[in-house]
Amino acid sequence: MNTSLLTVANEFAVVNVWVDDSANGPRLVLRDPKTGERIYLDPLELESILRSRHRDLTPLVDPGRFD
Amino acid sequence: MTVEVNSANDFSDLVRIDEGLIHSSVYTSEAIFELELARIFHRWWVYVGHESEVAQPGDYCLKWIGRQSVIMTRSEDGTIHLLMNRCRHRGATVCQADKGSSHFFKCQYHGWTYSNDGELIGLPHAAAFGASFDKGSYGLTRVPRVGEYRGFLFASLSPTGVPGGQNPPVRRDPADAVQGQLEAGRPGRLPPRCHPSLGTRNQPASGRHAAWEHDREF
Repeated sequence: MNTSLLTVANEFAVVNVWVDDSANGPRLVLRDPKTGERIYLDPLELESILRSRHRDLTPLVDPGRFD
Repeated sequence: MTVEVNSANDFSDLVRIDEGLIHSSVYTSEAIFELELARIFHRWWVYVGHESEVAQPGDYCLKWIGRQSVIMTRSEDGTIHLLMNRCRHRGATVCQADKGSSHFFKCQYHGWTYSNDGELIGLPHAAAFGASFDKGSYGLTRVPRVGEYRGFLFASLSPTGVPGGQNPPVRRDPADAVQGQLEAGRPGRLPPRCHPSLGTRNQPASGRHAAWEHDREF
């Protein structure tokens, strides 16, 4: 069962967000509505993000990592 | 009747202080407007905004200093930055929205991405710029001079300004009077079709317009 879908957007990005219960445990789903690309984040991964500073996310935001 | 500024930029015929007369062309002349941009808005201190407009880390909003678009941001450490809204790659505007919340800004033109304190944190295909390319040298340009008084932010596009103008020209008593009481609402933008000084002239510094037209709001 999925929870209701939310869209979080600004001028730089658009992401769909919902909680997915189709696996053995709950996961947060992030989906790019343009490409359908998605990632399932488990609670430990989410906790790691919340303990991060925004500066720590720099390598993930860098568009050059997809070169 | 249209009266243009003369070749010597002498305004004495248009502004007669002793008589309390200002010719209407002061507000409509394109030539005078260009002079104001060059002499005042692109050189002197200009009021930019209030710190409460970017109350939370990640908040940003766009401002204008003369014809230059400026990003007013608050970074993760709480510092407010004034950055030229111009990508260091091809000069495109990096932020388009009047306001938002984002710790990173990505130029839509080629993807150059900046942290909200102005640092260039990444770009696609950086190797194409050669081994000597230094991201640290291509952050968003900072507004040369920034001043703050009681949360009011001022900036100057000139690194040197004018003689005697090293500090923002703040009338301290009004700023002191509202200290701690002022909180700007969410940034918005009205599309005025009028002379840029009209807003300033209608601020409480003038007083008469506010007292006449907005008396119920006080």
